[in-house]
Order: sequence, then structure tokens, then C-alpha cells
Amino acid sequence: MSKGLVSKAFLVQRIDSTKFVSASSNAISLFAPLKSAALFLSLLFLFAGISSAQVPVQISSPVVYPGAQGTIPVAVGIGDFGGDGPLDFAVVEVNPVTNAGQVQIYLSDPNGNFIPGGTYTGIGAIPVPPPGGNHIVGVGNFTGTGNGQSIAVAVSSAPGCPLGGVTILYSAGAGTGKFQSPPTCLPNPTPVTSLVVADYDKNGFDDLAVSNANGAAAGSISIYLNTASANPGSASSGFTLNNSYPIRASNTSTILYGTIVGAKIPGDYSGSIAILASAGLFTQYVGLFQSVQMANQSVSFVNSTGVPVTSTGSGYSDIALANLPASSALFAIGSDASLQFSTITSYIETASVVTRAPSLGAFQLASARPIGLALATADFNGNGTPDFAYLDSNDNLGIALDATTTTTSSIGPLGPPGQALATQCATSSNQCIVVSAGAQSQLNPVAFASYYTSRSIVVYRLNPTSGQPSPAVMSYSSPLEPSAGQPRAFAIGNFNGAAFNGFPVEDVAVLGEDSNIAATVEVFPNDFRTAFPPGYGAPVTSSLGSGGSLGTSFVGIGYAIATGQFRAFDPDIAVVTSQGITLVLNNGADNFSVSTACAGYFGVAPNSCYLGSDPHFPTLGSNLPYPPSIIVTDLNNDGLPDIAAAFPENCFATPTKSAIYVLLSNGDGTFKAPIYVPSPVVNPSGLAYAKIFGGANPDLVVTNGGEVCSGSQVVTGPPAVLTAAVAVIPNNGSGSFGTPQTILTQVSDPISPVVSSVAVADMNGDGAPDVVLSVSDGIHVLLNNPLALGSFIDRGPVPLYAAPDIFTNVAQISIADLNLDGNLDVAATVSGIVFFLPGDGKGGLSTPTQFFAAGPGSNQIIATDVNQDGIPDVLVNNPTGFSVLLNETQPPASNTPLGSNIEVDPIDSSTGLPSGVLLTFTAVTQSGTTTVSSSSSGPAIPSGFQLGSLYYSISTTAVFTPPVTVCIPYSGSLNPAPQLLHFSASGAPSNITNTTSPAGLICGTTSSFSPFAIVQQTSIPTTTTISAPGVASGISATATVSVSATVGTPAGTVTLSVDGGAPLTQTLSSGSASFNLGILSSGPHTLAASYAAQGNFLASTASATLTVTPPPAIVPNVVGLSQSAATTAITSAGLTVASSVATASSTTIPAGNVISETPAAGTSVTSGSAVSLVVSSGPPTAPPPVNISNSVSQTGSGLVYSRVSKTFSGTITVTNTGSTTLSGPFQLVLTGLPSGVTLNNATGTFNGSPFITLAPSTLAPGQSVVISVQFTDPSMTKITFTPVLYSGTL
Amino acid sequence: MFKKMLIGFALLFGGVAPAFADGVTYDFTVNTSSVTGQAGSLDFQFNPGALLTQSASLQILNFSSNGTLGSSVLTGDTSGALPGTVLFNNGSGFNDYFTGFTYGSTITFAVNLFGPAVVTPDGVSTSGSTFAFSLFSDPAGTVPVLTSDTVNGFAALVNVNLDGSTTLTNNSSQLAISTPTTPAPEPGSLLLLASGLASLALLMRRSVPSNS
Repeated sequence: MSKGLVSKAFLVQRIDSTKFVSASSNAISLFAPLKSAALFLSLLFLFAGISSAQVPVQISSPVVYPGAQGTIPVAVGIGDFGGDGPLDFAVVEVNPVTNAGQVQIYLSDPNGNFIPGGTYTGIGAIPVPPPGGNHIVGVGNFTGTGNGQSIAVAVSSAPGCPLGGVTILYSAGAGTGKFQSPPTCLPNPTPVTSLVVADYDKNGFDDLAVSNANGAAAGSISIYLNTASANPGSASSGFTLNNSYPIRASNTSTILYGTIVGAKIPGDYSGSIAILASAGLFTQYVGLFQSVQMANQSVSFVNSTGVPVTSTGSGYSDIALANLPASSALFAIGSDASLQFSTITSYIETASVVTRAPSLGAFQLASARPIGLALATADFNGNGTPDFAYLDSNDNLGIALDATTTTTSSIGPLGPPGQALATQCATSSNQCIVVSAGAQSQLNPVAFASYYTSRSIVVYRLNPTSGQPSPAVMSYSSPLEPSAGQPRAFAIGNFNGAAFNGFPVEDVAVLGEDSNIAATVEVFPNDFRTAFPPGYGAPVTSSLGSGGSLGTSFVGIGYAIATGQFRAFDPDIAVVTSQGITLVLNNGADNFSVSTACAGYFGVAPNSCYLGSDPHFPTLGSNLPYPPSIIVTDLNNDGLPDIAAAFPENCFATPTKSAIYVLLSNGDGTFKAPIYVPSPVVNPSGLAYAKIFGGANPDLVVTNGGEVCSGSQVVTGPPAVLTAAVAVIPNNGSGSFGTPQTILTQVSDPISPVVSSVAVADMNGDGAPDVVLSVSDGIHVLLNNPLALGSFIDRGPVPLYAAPDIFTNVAQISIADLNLDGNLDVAATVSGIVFFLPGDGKGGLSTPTQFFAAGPGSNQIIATDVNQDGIPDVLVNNPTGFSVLLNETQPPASNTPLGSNIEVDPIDSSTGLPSGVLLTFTAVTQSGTTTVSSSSSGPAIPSGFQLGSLYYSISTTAVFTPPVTVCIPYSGSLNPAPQLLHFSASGAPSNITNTTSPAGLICGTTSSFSPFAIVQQTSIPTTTTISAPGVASGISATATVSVSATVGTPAGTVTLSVDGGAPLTQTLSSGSASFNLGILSSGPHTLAASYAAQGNFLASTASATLTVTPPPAIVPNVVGLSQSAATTAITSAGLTVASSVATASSTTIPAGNVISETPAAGTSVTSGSAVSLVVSSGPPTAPPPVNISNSVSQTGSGLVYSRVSKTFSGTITVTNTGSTTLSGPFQLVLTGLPSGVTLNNATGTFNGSPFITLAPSTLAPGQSVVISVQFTDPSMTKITFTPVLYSGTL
Repeated sequence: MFKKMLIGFALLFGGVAPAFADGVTYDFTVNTSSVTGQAGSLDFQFNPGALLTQSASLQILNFSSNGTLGSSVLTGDTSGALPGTVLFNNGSGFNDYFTGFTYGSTITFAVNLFGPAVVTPDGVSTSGSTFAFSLFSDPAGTVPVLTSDTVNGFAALVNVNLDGSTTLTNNSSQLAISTPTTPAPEPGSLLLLASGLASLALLMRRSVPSNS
């Protein structure tokens, strides 16, 4: 396969600390000139030994830096700020809203990379874009050679320069890489549009030439000579205006003004100045000021007579000045159509006036070069002939080696576009850097307002001294009249069925258009494994059908492209055109033809293209804000790939402004009648498919690009459509679809599209397809709930440019495991930059920290294995073709071998540096790779704790027998003790800490891996206690205050006060502090301790009583004494009587006298102690009797009269009729005895009635007692009475 | 004339109690041989208690002795004379029959206790009644004889309990008291009773027309 027409640039992306692209220093070879009229780049390192007179130039792959938030880079200055030899650079960045400028320094490191060296603000105001392009910045030895290089920036105003001037960042010293801040401004009567740095007066201190913008000095350049030799240092007064020189067109009085550049050319004194000047919009001149040594002047310039240059378009954009070997000078002019080079071929010199007018022997670099934007010159190959780097409107960066009057060459496209360009070679090593910078914007077709999409600072290293070539970025351009159109989309497909080592060989089909604004399809065969050098072969274009090839005669604009096996052959190509949808049939053997079902040729009715006859099909204009989308998959479960296409909003279409169509395949290259599906969103700009709801057929995911119509054309409903940013159309199979479901609500954004790209993948490995979106505010991952398919949780946004930056995240995305960590990642691209967002396997994405150049633009991105190495690479579609970023990430080597007690200390995959994590596997039964990735975000930290350092996600492919000891590095405080948390899959943490040794590591054991983190408890409650043992009078008292906590040992100070006095302060040692309180008075003393909140420990207080005991005393014997006498005796002994005096009955101690005392008499006690007394209340008293007659029955016998005793006698029986035992003593009272009757055997009388005390002391239930009674009844009257029984004593 | 005859029958047969009306009967036999010939006295009394006492009666029946009865003194609700039947009711607090007596060698008599308190106890009374029998060796009745109760001089006591039962206390070794019996009425007595009742009924029938 011929590759003769392929423009191929093999560049090596140099990215440190990343696995995406090899970090090795690489080089390619570039020969110039090349003979082919078409661009051809040969690789010298692959053809070593080929004869060539040219010195090869090796160019590293571009390294992209993101620049400062909220600014756009407008100019680059190069110098050795660090004084270490390798070149550094400074980027002038401007806030486009305020025009405030700043300078950001990038210093080279030993690896050839650049690290930020500081940002310097207060530069002043700089118009955007700057009128002098990159020539607003210059680097010079303003403080003298060997004192460090300083930076000068042309400003329109600045502190000290109200009308304009030059802001100077003076070096802070040789080798420091730093500058004095704030900067100093050299005032000028007008804004300075560009400047040149040179030592015009040869005093060893660089001077300044400035171009005046307007005002009184307009149309002139001014020379400021640096008088720092007399005033070494940084003061602006070191510059003195030497002279001003008007710029005039030849033979006219027209005042010119423009951009100046400088160089030392043959014949001048110290340096000459070239100017690209304008007198109006379309009249431009090139002039030259050459320094001459006058007799009485240190320096003088000869005025230039501007030579008009002819523009074929909108004018010339930049100018460069360099020497040619033959003692002549060369101009290079950036053109709207080419680069023009001119030489100074004649000049006139008289005694007083020297006039040097360039002769513009112009030639073009190449006949088909796009617009040149910026120029920079250096001798890249060190052969003495100037070379040029340039930025153009298509290729971005080009290199023209050894430009002469006849030939030169170019390479590209290489990287993202830019507006500023600088280049310089280090004299010592002949190593050069080319730095481009810029910010990209695009026009919103509705709002007619531009918005920024990306910003980049790109560094190319030329002639790197180390490293091996390894291609990282490859760019392929369409040979089919690329200047007339540009590729719109591409697709991949294994068109020829090739495979390598089991990996399918994916070719690329590019959809473009030709000079007739007709669609072209070019298939680039993948020859990475079949040809040398590896790459894509020449596109297949010659056999695209008879009657006019697809590339030249196919009518209609192509919008979208996809591949699918629509027949029983190799994949065909489906193309969405303005006529509908057609197929490019793959006939095998690199032979393709257009389907006759919709050939789309001139004269063919459009309704033959499946969709054209459908009443809902919106007409597609030639300037669609968003192209249609097309996907290919089996939508009706018949094993045949079908087509679904989304047609974005066409404001003037009727009856529907947008539509989604499904074409079900017949399996023979034809399709059934189209199925119209109403759009569930206002503007269906994106389409994807997946079994979102878990059904048998893939559902359709539709994204909204935002309303692009205005006025009456604005879509007004239904509400569900108006509010949907992303919707899913359930697929019922067999061509019917369910009610759409909104999964993301529309966010109003009048400028940028809401959703610019969509992809579907299982981002968290739960088996449910998730939706990944590129939205205005960043990349969103919508996690599909596997337990409720179709319900989503939005994990985003993860912005490419985070607020308050000025850029909109209008990226295209693709998904693959790009860093080979087992988790799906997102590759996003915008404006020729590819952003890498690592996935964490849980749906989370990390903010991009790696940026890759991907050609001049990026319409589309596909992550696929380009070179069949099993590793996904990245393809980016761009305005001239497509670019390939080969992923040179090396699969992680096994670091976990078989064995027992295996220690592993993996590299932190997020930084590429040693993680510090130490793992000890008890037993590894199958070797594998263990990885660690640190992150500042992770599962929620338990309340009351704070994250000690980072989260560490650990995973391994090794098979092991638990447990595994996990040691996480930790350098924070050990008080309170840090805890190692192990988060489960659900995020629930458990503390596994079991040791904090060895030092610097917190260790624990685990049986599984998931995020780990070290935390420390915050706001820890403390408890303060006081230990104050009592002391005897006259002894010094001490107290110990202890502060404890549930976690850790409180530290700091604690205070203690005695009886509310001034607090004493002591420092805690191991949580306690001792206080010497001195000799205190006898008695109790109140102690109050206070621990104020310190560190993570909360405050607490405590109080206690310290008792100072007086001398001892002897307790006197007071038993038997009266209470008053006893009191006297006790107090006389130095004791006190207890306030509470107890009483007790006594049969021996008279009432009022002391029965007993406590302590006992004779006891030695503390003086002042209390003696408790018990005082007699006299004899005990009987309880009152209780009438218990109701508890007994009382019966009697008859009473018989004894003639002997002259008495009546009988018995009374008392019986306990209750259920409880009655307690005595029992007294039976006979009440109501008739007068004259006497109870002879009475015990006594009670209330005038006789009673008898019963013998028993108790009466059990049912128990009876018989009492004999005997009466004297002299009158012999009948004896009656009423018995009453009492319990108790009467 | 016929009417007067009927009334006489009724009064004759209906108003005469049987030999043992009902209740409990004790047979007393006293060996007085140790005091034979001595002039002394006998005392019988049947008294209620001091509390609520149900009505009861007592008869001294079949008095026989080879001694000689003297004059007697009746106190309270007492009637009759020995050796005939002496009837005691417990309506008064002291119901006594005191008689002089010259001892022979033996004395026998029966004590019959009857009335509601014996036959149909009411369950609410709280005092019983007591019969006491004493022998004295002097006619004034101050020196008890043939008894171990030297304090009160009672030879025997019989209590009528609240449930109708009786309790015997025998303080004399020369006194034999039979087991109490509850004798059935004699058929002749029943016949006489029935005849008297019938006569009363006839008398009442014949008098009605004359009154009407």
C-alpha cells in the first residue's frame, strides 16, 4: 500500500508522571527541503544513514500546559532565567475582561520539562489581542550581563505609565529564576504596541526600541538607551529616551505604525529593526531601521523607507528578521495565503544617509499553505541559515528549515492552535524550544457571540539530547483538496477483517467534503502491524463507485458517519447527509461503492434516501450549529445492526424542527421504512444507546444541545421536552419505543451548548450502564442505579476549566481504561487538546491534570486500540484529518510475587511517585499487581474526625490469603492518635489501626481492599479531675490536676485556683500537672481547676475540696450528764456537739441526761470534730389499747350462785374469728355491770369497768380462751354486762 | 254441758305435759351413806348467763331418797315441790330450789333440760344457762358435802351450750350421773295430746255459729 501521499509527523509526547504517553525523551528527524509538492516528512531516525546534506532536526512531542485560570496567554518570551543553561520561558497572560496582564514563569528542570516558576501581577493593561502579537514581550540583560535576565512587556497603561510604556520585571539575581516585584514601568507618551530588546549602544546593558501606537508620537519608533551602567540596578530611570524615528512610506508623507522586530544584520552597528507597518486596513509596508555609529553619537538609526507589500487577502500578520549567510537580511512575512520571504537585495548609502530598502523577492513556502498567523525565527539545525517556526490557521505549528529564496518545507499539524509564538536556541547546546500559546474561541451561531473553549501553552523541544524516538502523536490529513473543506466526522471499523494477535485492526473512515461542497468518505487502512513505518495507509478513494466517486460527485453535505455490518460482509459505512441516510458499501479488497438505494447523485430524487419522504424529516441546512448524530446497533433484537440518527434543531423546518429516526435493517444493505421518534429534548445533538432499563433491547440516550432558534422559531413545548437535558427513550423492540424519561434537567445557558457529548459505559462496574456527559460545566457521570435501573445519580461536574475560569467545557468525550488501572477513564477533547480524567471505578472522575496536544482541532474523539497492543489509544478528528495519540502506558508490572510475608510498596498511580504505602501480604498464592492511588477526596469522614492526609485506594490483581497489613504514611501529630480507617464498598468506615510503628506509618490489617484513610478525632471531650489529699495543719498542701480524654492525651496548660483566688497555671505532662499550694489554714478549701480548649481537645473544669485538719482532741465521758453539762464538757475539750442530738427511752437514765456518746469517751479525734449524743427521753411508754372486739366472739356460760362463797360464777369464752393472729396483751373489760355487782376476779378497772387480763399473749385465728368470772351480787339481781376486748395495756 | 266437757278434756289432756317433754335428761344417783342421818340441805338452781341468753327450762323428776325432805324455799322462776317435779325456767337471774334434807343412804332423781336453747338453738345468743346441784351438811346450806368444790360447793354442773349441747361437770365421787338421753314421748301421752287437741278443735267449730 502506498503511503506516498501521506503527510506524517511522528512526534513524541513528553509527559512526566503519567502513564498515558511515554515519558521518555524522544526525537524525530525532519529533513528539509523535501521534494514532493505535497507535504512529506521523512523520519530520519528510521532511516539513519540515508544520504542528506541537511542537518536533521529532532522535535519532541508537544507538552501542553494549562495556563492560569481566568486568563488567556498572549505572548511568550524565552530566556535563561534560571541561569542554568537550558532555556526557560515567560508567558504574558491577560484577563480578557479587565485587560490586566500578568507574567507566568516556567523554568526548565533537568528532565527537560518545565515547572511553574511564579506568577507576577501588576504588569499593566494589555489589549486583547495585543496589537504587536508576540512582540509585546522581550527578554534582555537590563541589569548587565551575568546579573540575570529581565523581562519587558509593552503595555497600554500601567502603574507609573498612565499613557503607556514598558513594564519591566527586573531579575532578582542571576540563577534565581525570580524577579523583583512589583514590576517597574518605563513611561512612554503613547501605548507601546511592540518592542525590541538589543544593546544598541554596546554598553553591555540591553536597550529598548518601542513602537508607538498613536498620539503625538504615532508613526514612530523610540529608542530608550539603558544607562544602567551609571546607575546599575532596577530603576526605570536607567532608561533614557535617545531618539524617535518617524516611519513613512516611500515618497509619501503617510505616517505608518506597526509591529517591530529586531535583529543584527550585516552592515549595521549594533542592531536593526524591521517593521511591518500599516497606513490603513489594506496598505502595508515593510521598513527597516539600521543602526549606525555617528561621530558624536553613541547610536543612531537610519530611517527606513517603507516598501509597500501586496496582500492577496486581509493582510499580513507577522514579520521576522534574520540574517542570511551571504551578508544579507531576510524578512519573513506571515500571509493570509502563504509565507513570503524577502531579502534585502539593495541599499543606498551616502555620507550622511544610509537607506536600506528591502527588495521583496517574495516566494511562498508552499502553494497550499493556510493562513500564517505568527512567525519566529531561529537556527534550529545550526547551519547558519535561518529557520522559521510559524503558526498557521490550519496546521497550527510549522517548521521551515533553511528558508532561502526558493524552497522550504513544513510539518504539521502538531498541536493545539495558538496565537503567540516564540522560539530560541540555546547557544551552548544548540537545543531549541518553540513555545506557542493561545486561547481558542468559537462563535455561537445564535447569540453571535464568541466564547472561549480552551487555553494552552505548548512547548516543543528541538534537538533534545537524550531519549529514544517513540511516536506519540500522528496526524493524517485528507489529500482531497483540504483547503476547500474540512473533515466533519470519522468512524472506525475493521473494514478488511484484519486482526493482529487477536486484536481487531480498526481502520478509520473520514467524512469530509470536497470543493463542490459534496461529501467525501476516505478510508484510512490501519497498517500499524503490517507496514513500516507503522501508521495509517493512504486513504482509499479511487474505487468509490462509477459515475462519480463518492469523493467528487456525491451530492449533499455529509454530517455524520458510522459503521456497521449491514450485510453479510465486512462492515459498511452509514453516512448522514443532507439527503438522508445512505450506505457506502464495503465490497472488500479496499473497494467501496455507494448504495443505489440512496446514491445521492445529481438528479436522484432525495426521497430515495429513506428519510427524505418522511413528513417529519427536517431539512438540513448547510450551517447547522450541531451536526446530526448516528449510531449503529441492533435495536430490534434480530441480530442485524440497525441505525438510529438524531437530527438537531432546524429552526425553519416544519412540521417538526428536529427528529430521531430508526432504520431497521433488512440485512441486505437496505432498510425498512423509517421510524420517526419525536425528540424528547429541544435540540437532539447527541445520541447513544445502552440497555438503560435492563431490557432486551438497547434504549436510546438523547442529549440536548440547547435552543438555537430565536423568536417565533423557539420550541415552546411540551414541558417535558423543554426541561430535558438528557432523556432516555425506552426501546420496546420491534420498532416501537416507550415514553421518554428525563434523566438530567436542562440548565439554561444562553451561550454554550448544554450537552456537547455523550457516552455510555459501566463506570462503576455494577453491571448497570451509566451515562457520561460533557456539559457546559464539566464532565458528568450519571450513575445508573442497578437496583432501580433508569434512576441516576449525578456525580458531576468535573470541569476541564473550573470556575472562575473563562472557558466553557464544550468537549467531546470517549471512554476507555486509558491508564490501565482497571477503571474506566474519560478522554475529553476541545480545540486540539485532549484532557485525561482518570476514573476511580466508582463513577468518580479526577480533575484533569494531564493535557495532550491532539492536532489543530477536535471535532470528535474515539478511544480505541490503534496499534493492536491491547492498550486503548486516542483518535481525534480535526479540521484537516485526524490525529492519533498512541498510548504508551505500560501495563503495570507484577509487583506482588508468590510467597509469604510479601512486602509491596507500590507507586502512587495518581502522582507517579512512591506512594509510601507499605503492604505486607501474609501469603500470595497467585502473583499480580498491586496499585495505590491517592486522592484528596473519598468517602465521607465520620463526624468528629478530620482527614489526616489523603485517601488511598488500593487494589491488587494478586490472589492472596488474608490478612494483609496495610501501612499508610502519616506525618501529622500523633496526639490524638491517628486512626487508619478502612472503608467498605458502601463507604462505611471501620478503624483497623493496630500499630503506629514504624515511625511515619499507621498500620492495620485487612482482608480486602478499598479506600483507606488516616483520620484524627477533632473536638475531643476532656475530663478534668483534681486529686487533693487532706493534710494536717501546718503541712504544705499539694494538688494534682489531671486532664484525660477518650482519645489521646490532652496537652497544654491547666489552671487551679484556691478558694476563688488567682489561678495558678501549670503545663500538663502526660495529661497531669502538680500544684504546690503552700500552707493553708485549717478547714476545707475549695479548689477549682480549668482546662481551656487546646488543639483538638475541648475545655473542661473540675472542683474539689482540700481539707486541712487541725490538732487532735480527747472525747470526754459525758454519759449520765445532762445535755447542757455534756455540751459544756465537750466544747471544753475542743470538740463540738453534733447538731443533731438523738433521743431514746431509758429506764435507767433520767430524761434529759446523756445515754451514750460517739465517739466513745477517751477516743482521740481531730480537734473540732463533732461528738454525737443520745439523750434519754425517760422510761418507755406503753402503746394505747386497741378495741379488737370486732375481731373476736365473746360468749358466756350461765352464772350459778355459790351459797358457800356467796358469789355467782361462770365463764366467758373469747375466740379469734378473724384470719390473722391477734397480739396481746388482751384485756377483757366488762362494761355495764348492774349497780352493786362486783367482779371479784378483776385485774383492774378501765373507765370504771372491771377488766381481766387474759393469759395468752396472742390469739391465732380460731383460737379460744376461757376466762372464769366471779361476781358478788348482794341484791341477787340478774347480772348483765357487755364484754369489750382490748389489745394493749389499759 | 258438752262444751264444758270438751274444755275440760282439752285442758286435761292438752295442757298436761308428758313425763319427759323433750331435751336432754341426766339421771343422778348420790351415795349419801357417808352422811346418813345428818340433817343437811339440798340446793338446785338453773340460771341464765349475763349475756344474751335463749330461753331454756329444767325439770327435777323422779326424786327418790331414803332420806327425809324438809321445808323448801323457791326463788326466781321455780315451781313445784319435791319429791314431785320441780320446774325451773331461766327467765330470772337466780332460779333456785333449796330444801332441808336429812340424809339417808341414797338420793336419785332425773334432770331434764328442754326448751328452745336445747332443742332449737337460735345461733345469735351469746350466753348459755347452767344447772347447779349442791349438798350441804347443815340446814343453812353453808357447808358443802360430798363435793371436791370446796370454794363454791357445787357437786355437779350442767351447762347448756349455745349450740344446744350440754356439758356435765361432776365434782363428787359419790355422785353417779348417767349418760344423757333424749327420751321419746310415750304413746299414751301422744294419744292424750291428740285427744285434747281434737277437743279444742271441735269446741271451736261448734261455737262459731252461735257467734255468727
